[in-house]
Amino acid sequence: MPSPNIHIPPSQARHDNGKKAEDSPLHPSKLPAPDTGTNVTVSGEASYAPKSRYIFRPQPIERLPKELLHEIAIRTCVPKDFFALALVNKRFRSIIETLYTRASFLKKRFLPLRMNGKAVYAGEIRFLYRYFCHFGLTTLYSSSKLHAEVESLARRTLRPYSGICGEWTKREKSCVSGKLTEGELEKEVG
Amino acid sequence: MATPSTQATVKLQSNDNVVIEVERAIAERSVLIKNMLEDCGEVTDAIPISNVNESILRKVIEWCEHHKNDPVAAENENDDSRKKTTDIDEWDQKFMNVDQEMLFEIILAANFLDIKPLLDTGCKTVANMIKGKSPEEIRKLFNIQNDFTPEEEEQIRRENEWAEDR
Repeated sequence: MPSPNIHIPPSQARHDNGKKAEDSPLHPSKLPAPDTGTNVTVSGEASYAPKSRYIFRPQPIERLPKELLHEIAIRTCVPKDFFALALVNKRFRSIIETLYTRASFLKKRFLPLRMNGKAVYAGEIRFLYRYFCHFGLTTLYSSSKLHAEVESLARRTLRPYSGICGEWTKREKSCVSGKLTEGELEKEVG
Repeated sequence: MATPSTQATVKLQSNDNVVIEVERAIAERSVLIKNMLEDCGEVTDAIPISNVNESILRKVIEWCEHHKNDPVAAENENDDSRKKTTDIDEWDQKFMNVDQEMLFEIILAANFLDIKPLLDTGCKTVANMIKGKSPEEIRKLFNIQNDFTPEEEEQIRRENEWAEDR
């Protein structure tokens, strides 16, 4: 089938900034042709020709696909930075609020600390505790390796830190000092 | 089946048709190119790198040259030797000290060419730029438009209140 042949008037072939419109990946000539099945010639005065050829050039960060914004989000330093992204715009929010991104962030941010045997600060455990209280351990139950790892992180984090929970609430202390069994903990936060 | 090749260099062609010759070992930091060379054996023609222009390709090659002797990253991400999430090597910090246009193009190229350590460095660089900033400051930094209504913003703040340290 012959592809539609669209003629663009020369007066519309340049941007305001002088760049050639044809160079843009969003130029109509580089977009998939409409599937009309016929050759269409649009003359300069055609009533249905677009009045403006303004081509939107997104900001560099907005050209990244969502999977790369996810990769950036999970490398943020602290939970505050991670959740700040949710308030940047709707695109970021849609990434931050997925369980996959949240679980990946927890894994990347907290799992290495545990595995390296480094001190985990009270603030970090407090955050993890609040996370699991808010979202629940049950939301992480899944056959996927990632969720299994985060669930395991939750169980291990909330038990052995009885020595550093002086400023915590009674409920937090009970949980972290291991006074709750795993079953009770699950019931409490699930 | 292709036979293992011993060729010392390969040619890479950017999307603006510039051919760059590089050592095979350097080009093979890209898993995409490595797999391609393994599948095809001896490659005499330039390999088209369709998503990457000359300046970004040269930059990526510069990174690959510097890191050509680095051990290939283990598949297991939980390796004990992993650095802290935001640690970036000093050379890499200087390498990534470019304008945002180039930084994000490098990230896109690293993703396309499947160079995980470069992608990791690029993403960490952006994460470090975000460090300690408010949503408004992040928008300003990256010139992002706020598409929330005040009501939506308030609702998200309430939803994320639990995460704030009290």
